Amino acid sequence: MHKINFFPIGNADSCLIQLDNNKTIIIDYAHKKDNNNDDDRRIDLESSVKEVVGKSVDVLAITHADDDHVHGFSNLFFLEHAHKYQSEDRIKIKELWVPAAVILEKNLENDALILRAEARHRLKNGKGIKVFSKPEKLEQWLEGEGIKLKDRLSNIVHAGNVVPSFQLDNDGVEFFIHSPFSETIDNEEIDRNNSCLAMQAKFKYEDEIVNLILGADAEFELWEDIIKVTKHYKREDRLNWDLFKVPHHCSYTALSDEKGDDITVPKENIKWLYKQGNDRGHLISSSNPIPTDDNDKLPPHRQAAKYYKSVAKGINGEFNVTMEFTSKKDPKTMVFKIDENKVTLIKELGASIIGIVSEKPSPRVG
Amino acid sequence: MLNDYIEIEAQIVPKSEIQLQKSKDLLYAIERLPFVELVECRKKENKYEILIFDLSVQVPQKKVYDIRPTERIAVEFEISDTFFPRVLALRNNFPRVPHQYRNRNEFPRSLCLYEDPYSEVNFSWTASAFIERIRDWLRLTAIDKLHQQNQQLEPFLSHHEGVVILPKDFYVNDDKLFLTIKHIYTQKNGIPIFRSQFNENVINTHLENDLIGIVIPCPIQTHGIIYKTPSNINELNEILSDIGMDFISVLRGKLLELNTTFGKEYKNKLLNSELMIIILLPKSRISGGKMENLEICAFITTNPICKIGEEIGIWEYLYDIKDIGINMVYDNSKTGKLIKLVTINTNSEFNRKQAILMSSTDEALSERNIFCVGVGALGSQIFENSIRMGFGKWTIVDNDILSPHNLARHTLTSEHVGYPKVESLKKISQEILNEKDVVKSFYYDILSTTDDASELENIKKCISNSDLIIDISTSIPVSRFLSLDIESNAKRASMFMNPTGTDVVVLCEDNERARRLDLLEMQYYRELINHPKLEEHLYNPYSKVSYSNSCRDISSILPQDAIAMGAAICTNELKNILSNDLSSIKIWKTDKKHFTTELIDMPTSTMIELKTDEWRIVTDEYFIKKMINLRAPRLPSETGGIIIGSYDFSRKIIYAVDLYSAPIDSYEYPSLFIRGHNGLKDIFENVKKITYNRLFYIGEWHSHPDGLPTQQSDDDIKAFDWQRDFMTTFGQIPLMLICGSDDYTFHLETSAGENLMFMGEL
Repeated sequence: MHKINFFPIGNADSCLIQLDNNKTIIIDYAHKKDNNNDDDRRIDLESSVKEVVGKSVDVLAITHADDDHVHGFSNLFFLEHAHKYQSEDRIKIKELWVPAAVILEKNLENDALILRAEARHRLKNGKGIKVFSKPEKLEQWLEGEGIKLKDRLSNIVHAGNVVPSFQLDNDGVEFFIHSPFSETIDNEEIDRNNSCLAMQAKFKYEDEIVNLILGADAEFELWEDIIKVTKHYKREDRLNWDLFKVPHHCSYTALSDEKGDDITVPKENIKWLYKQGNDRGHLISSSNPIPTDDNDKLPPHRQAAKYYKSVAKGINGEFNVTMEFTSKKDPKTMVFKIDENKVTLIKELGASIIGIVSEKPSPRVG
Repeated sequence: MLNDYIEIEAQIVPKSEIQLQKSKDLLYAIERLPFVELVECRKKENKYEILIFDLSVQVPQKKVYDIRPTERIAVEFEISDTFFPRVLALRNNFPRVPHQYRNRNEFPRSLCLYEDPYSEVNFSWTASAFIERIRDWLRLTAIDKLHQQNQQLEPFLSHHEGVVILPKDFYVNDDKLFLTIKHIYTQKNGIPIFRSQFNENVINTHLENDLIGIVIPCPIQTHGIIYKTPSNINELNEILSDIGMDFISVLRGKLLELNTTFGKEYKNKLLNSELMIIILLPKSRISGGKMENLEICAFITTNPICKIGEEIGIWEYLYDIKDIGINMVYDNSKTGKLIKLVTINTNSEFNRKQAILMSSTDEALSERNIFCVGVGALGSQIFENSIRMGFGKWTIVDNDILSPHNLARHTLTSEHVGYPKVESLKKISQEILNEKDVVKSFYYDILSTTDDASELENIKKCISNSDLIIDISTSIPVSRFLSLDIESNAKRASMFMNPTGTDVVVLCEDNERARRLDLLEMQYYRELINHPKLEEHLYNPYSKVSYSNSCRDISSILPQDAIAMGAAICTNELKNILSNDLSSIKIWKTDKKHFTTELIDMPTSTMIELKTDEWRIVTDEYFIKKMINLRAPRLPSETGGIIIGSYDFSRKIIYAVDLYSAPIDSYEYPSLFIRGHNGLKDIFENVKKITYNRLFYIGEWHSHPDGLPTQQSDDDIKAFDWQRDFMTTFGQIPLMLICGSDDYTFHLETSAGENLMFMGEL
């Protein structure tokens, strides 16, 4: 059985995949919980991840360098580029995946900056890293470091390819890269969302195939490009899905440039994308609860959510929001299992009474 | 999307009007639990409160039954709270699945959540567990795991109006069956119980009966066919037509067949009988799969057969002549709309398969042939335990008649008094398992030389086919007979209780019979002497004569509870015996007050048997080793002592069971040994007391130095003369054992004055 975990961490992404062969993959990591705020319903991502992966993770993929995809990265992981990130209790990363933009971007701060340092360090050494897309800027950067591009080709994966680190038959999963395109990154200003790492993970268990699309924060323009290219190469299967982590925390901008009053009407091409869902598929919004009004300009947007709900209904599937599962008051990690029955969203009440009583101290009484 | 759901006919009310305890609990749980969302509350006739809510269900992408991620459920509570709250799935295309109640209306479908009766469920009912149970029901149904393997698919009829107990496997023959059905009882709640006897010869016996049953087999289906309760023949026909069954035609054929089967004298009775329609629905888990089980649905009609025939268009009843006129052409407009059906729950008679299942008896053991002699108190109870567990294929032999006083501890009852125990037990076991020839029985004295010889041949046949020959006769001669006088490769075992009923003894041979039952009996006595806890084992407070054979005579004062406990232990041990190759001597010692039991597992030793043409000496490795070990440390001097054992004069066997070291006042020299006598009296008394004289002094042993033969020396011959003088006086056989460095020899003089030597090598 494979397991896919989506964590309730607000408008932020983190997905943890546990393969049947015990390999683990983390896609984005943003630990933003404020432990001093009792109203902060987000989970403690750091301990949740530690609990599952133990001392090392096979892959950490950061789809782009936004804070809500990388926050707290430097506190949890063992980083090879500097001693201060190398204490025993940190999680070792066997392979780091980043879009080329992460290497090249300027004006970064905090964890994003540290991520860049780590990615650059690994790329310089040519070990433990995959960089996605090969813009000219990357070649220039390598030359500046005195490295020839041809010596780093094994570390670079282009859109339209499967990442060689996993094989469907051996690992029960493969990752097909939809984005970034090299051209996007060669633009003068890097548009981070549209040069992000977007993938389809194809899982296999016994004879069953389950497709997961990880939409990162890709906006509708990028999706239109992805769809166009994918159709051009007749690789429609690479946009088929059973699970869809909808892009950009349920922002309408991933569907269209128009929010719509009641419901976001996606661009034509994008409608096609959402018709690629299989019966009883799932859409997952890694976001705050869906609001009932439009007071907040930031995602999630209720109009986009309404569209996703209609997609789910059309395939007898489900649309779930990380911060609403299983309740807004007490959100829990959303766990999908993949087995001989394809994908199942686990809907258990969670800890037993004994678990609750024995796991943590009781609240103080006086 | 209201039209996706079935509307419940009841008044919508605000939450505040919900007043029944359980519905209030449920409402509160719905409001605080995840995965559940209230839709509305309704009320009906001031008697029902209905909560409607959406459940979020864990369903996999690839499902067996179309259960959706969200299902709308209605729960209906009734004011008296005497039955399960009704749980209805409101989606208008909710699938037909197993474990639904069949109501008069197919929709909304009604879920059957519990297997236990409501009185039991009610005891620990909580609203949150109830919600989880519904979610779980839906989750498991989606993947078709609700229905556990081994679990019989019960017909879940919400309101059956009778129960019929059908013969087991009555359907295996073919479909030309009539059943004769009797109304045997009416329960307090008015529900009648019917019991049926399969009877091909229905014509002559049906007069005794209240109903005639006809059996209608259907083609194999995936389960969940009868999805609602048909209220008349026409409705049943419609339901069955869904699976391609032309029920009306089959029914017509059956009734016409019935009509021709009966002679004229019974015709009127037949035509006025009521009909029970028994539908066989063989089911497979997947469509096109093989039959996994059979659901049996039964209905009784409230009209007599003559009327039914009219209503399905096959005949006219002619009141004047009280007979029928068969229609030349069936009246196809008549499909039994007026023939009301009452749903009857069906039950199969108990059978061996069920017995095995319910006791989780090892299937391999259930097939083993057990030949048992003795079905008295202990035997009958072991036997009945085994029968009820479906354990073993039994042959029972006993020559006793049931006496009134036997009822204190026997499984039989007064009605069997005066009849052979075996016959009655056979009859009862047939009644328990509903199986003819389930047991072979012989009312026979196995020790007799005068009983019917041809019967003996039959018994011998059974013996040669058996896997285990067991003596529960509480008779030593029987045990010896089974051990020594019959031919079979099967191992032998003996089970009995001690005189006070505190201890159970099981002796069992190994599969190779290298440790024969008669020897094990001797080893058991020997162990009693050596085992301080068992000093009182054979104590018999009811026997004034200490040398009586009454230690196994359990026609003494023994409480039934002790026998029941012993029988339970023995039945369980039977399983061990049949699955184990090794010999054993086991004693379960029970404290009288609390019935706590301790197992004393005694060592056994390999048999050594020395034979001449007629006589045998039976001893074992334990005995010989002990002798060697007593001799060696005294070398170069001789040593010796006394031997205890037993005789079987009829078979000319001498059992040399144990030997003792030289008393301290003995003289031990390289060329001579004089046995002293200090302490011997105590030994004899002890042996006599503990074994109840089962073991006693049988002779003397002494050693010869290395290299010397084990023939009697001149001194030995004189000593043997001394032995002969006193032993023959008491009817014993003088015996002298001489042990050398390489061999040993038993010297004895038979009762006919013949001198024999039995030499064994070391």
